[in-house]
Amino acid sequence: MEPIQVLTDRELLNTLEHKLSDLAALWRGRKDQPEADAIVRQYHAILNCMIELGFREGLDVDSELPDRLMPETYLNLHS
Amino acid sequence: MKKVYLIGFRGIGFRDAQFSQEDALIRAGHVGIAFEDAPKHIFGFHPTEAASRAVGDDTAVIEWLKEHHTLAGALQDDSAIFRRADTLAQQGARTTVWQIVIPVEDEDYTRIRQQVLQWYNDGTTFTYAFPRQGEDPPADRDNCATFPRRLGLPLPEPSGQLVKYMAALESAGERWIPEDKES
Repeated sequence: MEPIQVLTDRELLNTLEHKLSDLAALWRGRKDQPEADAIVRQYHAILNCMIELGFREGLDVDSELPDRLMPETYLNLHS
Repeated sequence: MKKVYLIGFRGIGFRDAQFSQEDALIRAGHVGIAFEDAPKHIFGFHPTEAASRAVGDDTAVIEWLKEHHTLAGALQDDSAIFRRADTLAQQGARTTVWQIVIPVEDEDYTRIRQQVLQWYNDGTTFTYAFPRQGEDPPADRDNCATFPRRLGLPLPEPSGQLVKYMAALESAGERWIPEDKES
C-alpha cells in the first residue's frame, strides 16, 4: 500500500500513536471483559489509518497488542 | 539539596531485523535511576534473567508481557545499556537518551540511595508488568518507568506507557551525556 504523502503529518501520527498506547493498556486492563473486542477493533482502525498515512515504524512494545491480535497490515510491514 | 536522575530512552522495537541482535532492553526501551555521587551507575528495574528464561526467548517474553502476565523483576545495573542506546542514537536510531534532574533533600537522597543499593545488592524482587488502564492500577506491580514511585520519586508521566513517558521526559528534561564524554 502506497502512503498518501500529502496527508502525512508527524504531529497527527504522534497523537494517534499515543492513542494506540492507551488502547493497548486499556485492553490489558479489560482483556477478560466484553468490551475487549471493541478495544481491538478501535485499535485496528487507528493503526490501519496510521499506516495509510505513511506510518512505517515499529511501535513501542507496550503499545502493541499481542501478535495474535495485531492487524495483518502491520505484521506484514515488518515480516 | 542533592540530585537524583531519571534517565530513559525509547526502544527501537522488536520488528526491525537490523537490530535483532541488540539486547532486549535496547529494543524495548528503558528507564533507570542514577545518583549525583555515582552518575555512571544507572539502576533499572526489569524482569530477572531467571524469570525471563522460564518463559522462553526474548520474543516469547515480550508476548507474555503483552498478554499482561507478570514476571519477577529486580533492580539491575544497566549502565552499559544506556551507553549503547546513546551510541545507537548517534547512528540514527530513535534511542536518544534523556534525563530529568530531581533535586531532593540530603536526608531523602541518602535514604533513596541506600534503599536502591540494598534492593540491588539483595536482589530483591518485585512484580513486573506492562502498564494497564481501565481499573485502579494495582500498587504491587511496575514497569521500569513507574518503579521510581516506590522510592517516593515523582514521575514525569503517571501511566508508565513508554511512548508517552519518553515524550514527557524529553519535554521536561535534557539530553543525557555519558560521563566519559563530558568535558
